Amino acid sequence: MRRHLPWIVLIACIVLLCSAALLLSATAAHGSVANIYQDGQLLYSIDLSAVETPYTIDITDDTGTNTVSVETGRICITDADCPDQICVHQGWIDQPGQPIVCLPHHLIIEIVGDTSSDSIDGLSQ
Amino acid sequence: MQKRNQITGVSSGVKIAVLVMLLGLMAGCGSASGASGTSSTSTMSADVSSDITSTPATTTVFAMDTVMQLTAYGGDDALMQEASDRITALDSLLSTTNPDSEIYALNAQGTATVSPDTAALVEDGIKYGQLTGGLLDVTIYPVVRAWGFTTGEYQIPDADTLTELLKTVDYRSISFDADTSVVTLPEGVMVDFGSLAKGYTGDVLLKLFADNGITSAMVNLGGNVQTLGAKPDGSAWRVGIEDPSGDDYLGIVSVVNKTVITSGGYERYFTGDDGTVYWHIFDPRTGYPAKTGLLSVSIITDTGIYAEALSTSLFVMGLDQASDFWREHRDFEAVFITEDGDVYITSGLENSFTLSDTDTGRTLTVIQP
Amino acid sequence: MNTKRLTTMALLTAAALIIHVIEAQLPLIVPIPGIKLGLSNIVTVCAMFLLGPADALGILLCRIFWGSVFSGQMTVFLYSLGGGLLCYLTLLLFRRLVGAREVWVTGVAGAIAHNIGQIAVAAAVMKTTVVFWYLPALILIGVFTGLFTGLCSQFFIQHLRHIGFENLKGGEQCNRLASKIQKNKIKQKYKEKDGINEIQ
Repeated sequence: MRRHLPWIVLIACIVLLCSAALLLSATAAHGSVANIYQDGQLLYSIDLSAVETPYTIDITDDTGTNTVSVETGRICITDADCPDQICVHQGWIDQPGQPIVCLPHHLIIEIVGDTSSDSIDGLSQ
Repeated sequence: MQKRNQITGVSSGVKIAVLVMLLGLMAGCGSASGASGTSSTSTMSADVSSDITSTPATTTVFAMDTVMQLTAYGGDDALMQEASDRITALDSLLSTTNPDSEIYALNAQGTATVSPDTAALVEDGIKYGQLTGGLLDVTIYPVVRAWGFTTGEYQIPDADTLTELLKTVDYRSISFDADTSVVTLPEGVMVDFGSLAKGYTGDVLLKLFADNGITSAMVNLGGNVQTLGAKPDGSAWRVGIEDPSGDDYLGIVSVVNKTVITSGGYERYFTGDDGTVYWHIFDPRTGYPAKTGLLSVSIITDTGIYAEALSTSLFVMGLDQASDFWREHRDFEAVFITEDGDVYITSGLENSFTLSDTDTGRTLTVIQP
Repeated sequence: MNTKRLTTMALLTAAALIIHVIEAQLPLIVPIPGIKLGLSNIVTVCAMFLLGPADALGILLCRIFWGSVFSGQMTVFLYSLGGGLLCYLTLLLFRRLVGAREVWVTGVAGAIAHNIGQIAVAAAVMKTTVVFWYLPALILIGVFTGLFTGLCSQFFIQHLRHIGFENLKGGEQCNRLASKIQKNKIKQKYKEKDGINEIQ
C-alpha cells in the first residue's frame, strides 16, 4: 500500500483540481441555456452565454440531418434535409418560450432561462 | 506457493472496490438511458399533495403534424397520459392521410357515419362557414392538394384545373344528419379539418383538465396557445405574438382563460420561380393564396375552435373587412400585422397588448369600434 | 509470428471490439456525440503489458478501425484514434515506470490521456476551443473509468501470467530492474564491508 501512496496522492490532487474547476464554472454567471431534444431525449444542453467562438453541430438520425449553429447568446438550425424547411426558416432564437422545431426529424431546440420580466409563457405562431 | 500469492495477491478490499464501481456504472447507465415512447415524451409530474405553484405536470406530444406542449399545474402523470391519448385518438380520427381515419373514409366514399368528435367538427365547419360567408371553407382540401401543400411537392396548378376544383369547394354541399350522425358529400368534394382540428383539440384538453380539478393550465399546440384560468400565482399568461420576419416575438398579449391563435402566411409557403411567395392560406373564392396585405392575424377569444375559424377567415378578408367583422360581432379581439410591418389591434387589447421594446419603426394602430 | 501470439492478439482485439460496441450503447457523458468512456482501454493496457508495444499498437489500430466501421460514424473514428493513440503513448511511457502491482495507475493515466485526446480531436473537428470547457469533467471521469479499467487489467494480467505469459513486457521488468538495482546496492555494501573495492 505504501508503494501506491505517491500515485494516490497525485491522483487525488488531479481529482481535487478538476472538481474545483467544475464548481467554479458551475457557479459562474448563468446565461440562457439551449436544450436540444430529439424524440424527447435531451441530446445537448448548451450554455449560450458561455459560447466564445461560434460552432455548428450536426444532428443525424435515421430520419435525416439537421445542422445547428450556435453563437453567443443564440442558436438556430441553418441547414436541414427535411422537405418543408420550416425549421430553417425559423431563424435564430435567443429567448425562452419559443422553440425551433423540425417535425420530420422530431427535433426541438428550446431555450430555458429564468423567468425575467421580458420572457413569455408561450408563443402564438 | 507463498511467493505466488505475494506477487498475484490483490487485497480483497481492492477487489470489492472494483465490483462496487462496476455496479455503480451499470446502475448509472440503466437509469440514464431509459427508453422513451414514440410520440409521447418527457413527462414530469408534480407532487400532487403539494402547493399548486410547484412544478407543473408537462408533456410533449408529436401529433397533427406539429408539436404540442401541455402544462397543467396540479396535474399528474395519469392526467398527462390521458391528455396525450385524447390527442392521438383525435389525430387518427381526423387525419386526411391516415387510411384508418373517419375523414379519410368520408373523403374516399363520399359518405360515412361519424363519431361525436368528428360530428362536432362537421357542424362547426358548417357553422363557421356560414358565419364567415364562406371564407372559412373546410372543403378547400382539393385546392390545397393541387398546390402541393399536402405532400411538400409544391407546384402552381394551371388555371383550368383550379376552376374545375373550385366547383367542388362549397361548405354548403356538406349534408349532415344530426340524428344518425351521417355525413354525405357530393361527388368530388373532400373535407379537411386541419384548419379547425387543433383548436378543437385544445378545447377538449382544457375541458379534460377542468373536469379533473385543474384551475391553471396552458397548452401550446403547434403555436396555438390556449389557457385555462390564470397562472398559479394569479397573474396573467404572457403570450408572445410571433414576428413574421422571424426575429422572436414582436409583442406580448396578457390573457386569462383565453385562447391566442395566429394564422400567418410566413408559416408554410413556397417561392415560385419568379420570386412570388405562395402560402398555404387560400381564398376559397379564387383558389389562390389570399393576398390582402396581411402577413398574420392573431385572434384572442374564449374557445380554440372559434379562434381557429376566425384567424384563417379574417386573414382572407383583409384588414378593412376584418375590422368591420369585428365591429359587428365583438366577441373576440385581434392583432393584425400587415405586409408593411405595421400592427393593428382591436380596442379591447389596448391594455393587454404591448409591443416588444426591441421594435422600432413599427406603428401601432388601435381599431375603434 | 507464432500461433499463440496471433491467437492472443485476435482474442484481445475481439474483446476490445465487443467492449467498444457495448460502450457505444451507453448514454452520452458529455453533450458531444462520439466521445466515449474508453473502456476498451482495458485491452490496450493488457496487451501492452502481456504482448508488448508493437502488438498492442496493432490491436489498438485494428480495434479503432473496425469499431468505427461498426458504428458507422466518422466522428467516432476520429475521436477513437485521437484518444486511443494518446492513451497508447501514455502507456508506453508508464510501462517502465510502474510495477506489476501498479498497473491500475497506468489505467488511470491512460484514461485521462484518452479523454484529453478525444477533446483535442473534437476541438479540431469542430474548429472551436469551446469544447475544452468539458476538460475538467472528462479528466474527472477519466480518473474513475481509469481506475476501473486499470484494476480490471491488473487482475487480468496477474492471472494470465500463469497460463503462458510469464514474462511480462512491462511492469515486471521494472520490478526486476528495481530489484536488480537493489541487489547491486547490497553487493556494493558487502564489498565495502569486506574491504574489497572492485570496479565492476
